[in-house]
Amino acid sequence: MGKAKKKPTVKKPASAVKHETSKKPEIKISNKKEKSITNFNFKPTLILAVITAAITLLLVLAQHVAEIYAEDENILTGKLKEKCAELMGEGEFEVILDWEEAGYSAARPKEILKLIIKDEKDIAFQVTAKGFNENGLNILVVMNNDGSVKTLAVIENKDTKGIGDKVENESFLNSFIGKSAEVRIIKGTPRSDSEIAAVTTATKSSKGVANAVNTAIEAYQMIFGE
Amino acid sequence: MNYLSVFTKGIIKENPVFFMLLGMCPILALTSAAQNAVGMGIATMFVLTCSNIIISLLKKVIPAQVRLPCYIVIIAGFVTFVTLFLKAFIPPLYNELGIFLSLITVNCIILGRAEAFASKNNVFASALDGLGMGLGFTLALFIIGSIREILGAGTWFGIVLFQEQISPMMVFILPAGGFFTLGVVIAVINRLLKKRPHNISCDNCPVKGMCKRGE
Repeated sequence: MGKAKKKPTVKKPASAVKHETSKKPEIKISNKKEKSITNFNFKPTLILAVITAAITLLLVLAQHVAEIYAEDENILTGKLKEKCAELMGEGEFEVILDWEEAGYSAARPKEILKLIIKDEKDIAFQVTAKGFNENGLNILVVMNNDGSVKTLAVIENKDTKGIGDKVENESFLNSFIGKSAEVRIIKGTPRSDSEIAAVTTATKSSKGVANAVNTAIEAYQMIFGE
Repeated sequence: MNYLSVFTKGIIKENPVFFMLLGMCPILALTSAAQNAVGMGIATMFVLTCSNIIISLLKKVIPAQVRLPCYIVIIAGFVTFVTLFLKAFIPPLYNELGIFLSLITVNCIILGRAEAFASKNNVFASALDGLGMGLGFTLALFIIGSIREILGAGTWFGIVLFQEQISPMMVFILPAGGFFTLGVVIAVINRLLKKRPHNISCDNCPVKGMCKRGE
């Protein structure tokens, strides 16, 4: 690759410049004519509008078809179903979404996705909580008949992989067993029953799990407590 | 026109990720697990092929002045269709891809092929081009995804390979690791296939005059 050549500048003779300026008035007039509205070409805009309308129509149809197959919220599916069977045992499961309709004294808080009742006596809640990410945690909390936590499992964890998923560690989850009142996450060693040690480097996710458990405990008190 | 070469060029010779450097966003964001990466690749391939077909069918109808909005509307239509389909039939994949499913609309590969190929060629060739480029994109996602998952989490498609024996290097499933992996893979593949960098002129470069190449 050699050095870039500099183009020699050509000086226009004076006569040529005059020639150009005499042309200008003519060009100005023709520009004004083109700008009149009757000469505006509507065709491209019309075609764009037709294509957009056609696609929107097809999508509305597709949406209707998809809704027929959408997941039925009233049944247990996938990992939630698996964990319910694992932690509560086999039996008849019932999902309650509308609490007031079912006769409970409170409405379902928005953090609780499902109230799950097995064999009409065992209670569990599916709770979402903010971990590191908004709605990063989706947890199944199984309750004892006295309002204390029986066991829990993480259904979905959208927090940072490799860091936030450390809260799925069994020993951390087991530290919530038996709690019947609000718990707090602290760093270091817990000094009382209401304190639980955070998972190191995953404090926000740990707090999310604690929030989910607290929501479940509170909800149990609201509906079934004295 | 050699239809076979139209199809195969997208897979290796003109791979959109490794040689044309398109579609960088999903490559970096969705390759922490090989399974999600391949799922994304197949969704993109579907949208790319379908939009190529429709745009090729409508190439005489769409005027040049509004071609880009028309292409985007068509592409967005197919992306929405794929989103509805996945939400209804494959919810786990829908949850994993999340917002990146909607972002397929602005994946440069799809708009790029629409502008460069589908708007100028017949329907069959455009379909093959879409399939080929889509496969090339999926292949790139698969390679990067596998490397990142194996080195970063010790698993491959969810199958645990090693956890206790060798501790996996977490950095590979974090964003920084994505950049490292992508850079190294692009360099290695370009070297193996003996690709030379494009001869781009200096005219539009903002640092022209300051760098050595201009001398």
